[in-house]
Amino acid sequence: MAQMACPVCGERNPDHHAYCRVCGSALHEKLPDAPSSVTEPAGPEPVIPQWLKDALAMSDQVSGEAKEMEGPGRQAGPVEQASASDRGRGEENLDWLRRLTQGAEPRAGDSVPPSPAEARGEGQAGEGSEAGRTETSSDQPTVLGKWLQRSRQTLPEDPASRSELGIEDASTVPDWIGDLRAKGVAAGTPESSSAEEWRRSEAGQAQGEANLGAPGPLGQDEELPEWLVRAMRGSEGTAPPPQSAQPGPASMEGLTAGKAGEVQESTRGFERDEAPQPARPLPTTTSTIEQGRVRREVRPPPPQTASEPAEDDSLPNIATGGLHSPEDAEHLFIDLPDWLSGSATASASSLDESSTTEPLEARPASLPSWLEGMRPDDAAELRTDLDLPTGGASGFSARETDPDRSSEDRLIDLEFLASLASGIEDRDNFPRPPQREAPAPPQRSPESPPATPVDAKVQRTEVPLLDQLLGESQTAAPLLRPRHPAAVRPLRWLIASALVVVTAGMLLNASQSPIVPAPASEPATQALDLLRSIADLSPLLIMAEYAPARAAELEMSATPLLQDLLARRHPRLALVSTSATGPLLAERLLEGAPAARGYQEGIDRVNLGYLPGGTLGISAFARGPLEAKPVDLTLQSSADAQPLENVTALSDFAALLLVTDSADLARAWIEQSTGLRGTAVLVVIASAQAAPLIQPYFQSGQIDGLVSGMQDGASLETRSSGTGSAKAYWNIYTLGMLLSAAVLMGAALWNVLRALQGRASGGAPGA
Amino acid sequence: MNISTDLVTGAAAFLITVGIFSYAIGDNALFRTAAHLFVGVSAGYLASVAWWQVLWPDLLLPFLRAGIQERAALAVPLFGAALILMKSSPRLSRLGTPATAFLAGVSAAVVISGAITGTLMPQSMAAIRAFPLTSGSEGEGGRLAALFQVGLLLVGTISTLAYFHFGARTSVDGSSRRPAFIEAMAMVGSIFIATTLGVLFAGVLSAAVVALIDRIGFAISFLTGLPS
Repeated sequence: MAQMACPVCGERNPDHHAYCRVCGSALHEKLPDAPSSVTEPAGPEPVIPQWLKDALAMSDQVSGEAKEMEGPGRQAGPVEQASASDRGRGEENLDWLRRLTQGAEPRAGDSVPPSPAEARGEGQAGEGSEAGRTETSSDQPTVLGKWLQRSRQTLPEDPASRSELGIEDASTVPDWIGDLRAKGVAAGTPESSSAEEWRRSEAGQAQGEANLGAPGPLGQDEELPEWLVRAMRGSEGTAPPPQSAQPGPASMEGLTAGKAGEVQESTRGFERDEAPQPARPLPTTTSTIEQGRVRREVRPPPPQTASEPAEDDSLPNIATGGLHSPEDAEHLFIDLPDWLSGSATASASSLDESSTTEPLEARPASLPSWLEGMRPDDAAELRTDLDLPTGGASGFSARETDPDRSSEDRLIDLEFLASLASGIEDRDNFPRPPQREAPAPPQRSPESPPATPVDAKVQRTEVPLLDQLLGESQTAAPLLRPRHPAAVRPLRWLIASALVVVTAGMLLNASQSPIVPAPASEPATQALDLLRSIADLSPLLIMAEYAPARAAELEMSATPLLQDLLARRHPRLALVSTSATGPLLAERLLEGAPAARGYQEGIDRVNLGYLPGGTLGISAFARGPLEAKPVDLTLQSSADAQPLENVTALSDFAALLLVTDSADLARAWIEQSTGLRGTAVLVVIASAQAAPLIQPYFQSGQIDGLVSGMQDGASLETRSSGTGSAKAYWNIYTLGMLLSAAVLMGAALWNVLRALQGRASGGAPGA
Repeated sequence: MNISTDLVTGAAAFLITVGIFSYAIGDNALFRTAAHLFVGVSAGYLASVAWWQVLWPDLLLPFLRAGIQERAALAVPLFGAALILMKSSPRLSRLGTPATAFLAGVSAAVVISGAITGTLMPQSMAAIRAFPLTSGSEGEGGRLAALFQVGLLLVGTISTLAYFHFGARTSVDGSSRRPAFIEAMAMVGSIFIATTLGVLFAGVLSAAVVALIDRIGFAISFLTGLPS
């Protein structure tokens, strides 16, 4: 028996076989890639997209050799064109498509190539193939090419013959299939130069037709657009719909594999009848209408029957790189490392799994333990806090229509939905993630940390309180205006006049008050005794840390002590201050002591001036006085000054006399000099307002003496029999304090009486 | 006519003093003039002090007189000062941030360490040492006085600390309240705090009365000394 070698696989086949028994390729002649059918009526030239124009331009530039080789392929889309271009075969001839779109006859002189339909029709007619079929629109004959008309003439007219050939009668085909086929032509038939691919597509056509033959019941799509109706019909079928796309080139298959679900969705309704494939059973989407809304449900694919091929060729997978045979895949991955091959296989399997969209109630995703542990709690907390229904969106709809619900509850729901929506960008374009079961029990592992759910309700209740507090803190409290300003002003004048008149009268009288100051306090007495015990001509440091407004009080307090010290021990004085006005006030202080009038600058005393840096300056001065103040107020070197002879540290001073009106500055000097003073005596002369806060340092032994206010000054002046203004002013001070206390007590009593009067009259207190 | 400097300065001081005292009858131009004069003089004086007592003697003068090594050492604070000056410009203020951060960090470290070693620990130890009743307790009256003093110290310390305890619990009605015993101790602590504030106010009043006496005495002495 004569045999013929398959042009594709080389298998020897009997001569009478039309197709290869191994690969199914045509043996006698090269079959066309795909039939072409024309459904678009002739009309004005359609608007050709740019990519198609480019392709046409490229086609025109093809050389004559390419024209001879050009086949009857037609361009179905950019993907196919790209694939064909990738293969570099140059088999496309877009002239036929141009003619189709222009509705014109082929140009004169152009050789009409054998169309695929013609070739296939002849071949199928001759060989009785079950797959060849051409669907044309009979009412638009003018747009058909000659080759198509010839192909139609070659088809048998009787239904029996057509049925024998596997060609459906137009009358038996439902209208909706006709529409689908008509629409599918628009998508085009992918060109395939491979006879094997074409053969494979033809083989799957019969089953696809069977699947399309029974549209699912539609009952709610009357108001939907036509295209959606067709899409829903295609998705309503219980059987897996036919694969819309014929196995194309590798690039196309790759795209198809990656977007299997999308292709399935997008091409539904545009499927072509030329190339139905035994498609992988994809999940079907059922659209129903509920309350005016289209509700879509994704159903899992039905299980594959035993008759279906185990390996789906129509859905290329990544593992095979879009190739059609395992041999190709092995050849592709022969040079790849194992890990890459393994990952590719794994990705292919995962892709297969993901392509079958799971139903809404699906298994939970595999998550880390910590995330797994906190998932259910979050959901439960949110649902509990917001009182969310478990019915998802339908539950929300029901709650929204509940008239008993308050606007606040609805606001909570809306904000919750908005938060969910904001967290998902373009949800429709993303594959639906695996949904977890709502009533799933907590799966927190013992090692997982406890969840920290967001207590939204508590936050919602506390936010207004916080906002109120912030608002109150930022709102200036209105000033309390006296109710009777006309009465307050004379009262103020009266009090001021009384104080001034009494003080002036006492000063002008100039009579010695019979009032004797109280004995000096223990801290003041201890300070006096310690200062008297220092060695003669020993260095003494005076820190003048007070403001000019307190100069009078502090000078009255410090002068008796300083006068006694200077008169007895004649110490060498060093003045320093962290206040800018301190050095001048220190000079003024010394001028008030008669014993200091014989002191010469640079010999008996040195004014180191202003010590910058605040607490930092105090710390630096305590650690190194000469380093912190290298020059004095006259810009002379401090180390060369005679008062600072043999002084290199703070402990070299015999005594430290701190004159201050600030408890903070006193504390800073005490803190920073702790441990650095050595045996130096530290005496603080403080204002009456700062003395109570410095008193604890005396009780703790951190300072050796404390002279506070005018009272201690007058007492020390009396004890030391010294001269000063403290004792002279003591009478006036006492009278002024008595008068001030009387005014305060009178005002307090007045307010109490008014309050009692208000209560008795039943009005507001103080009214 | 020979006008002495003491007369001019005394007259200026007298007018300014009267201007400040005039606030007793209300805000007026004399008071504003005295206040503005004080602010302006203070600012000018501070600027002169900063230049003559800090920048020139402590930074620039050593930089000019010192050798290369000393200049290199002084260049660091000079550069830091230049960076801090950048703070005056909004565009360049970021350049001064490192130097400012350095100053703030060092200041915080110095203050905190000084507070711990100079106040917190010594004051705590002093409060603890006050509790043995053996010292200074001579006779039955002495012991009772010492016991009262120590007890007052204990109650005052604990109640004052309780007053600044802000831990609260949410009650049924949603309000936040401190525990009952803390609330009671805080009430006692408020008495001690009010007493302390009263003492401080008395000190302020005392200082004010002394200042009033000093200023009125100055005015009287100036007016009585004019004929001479």
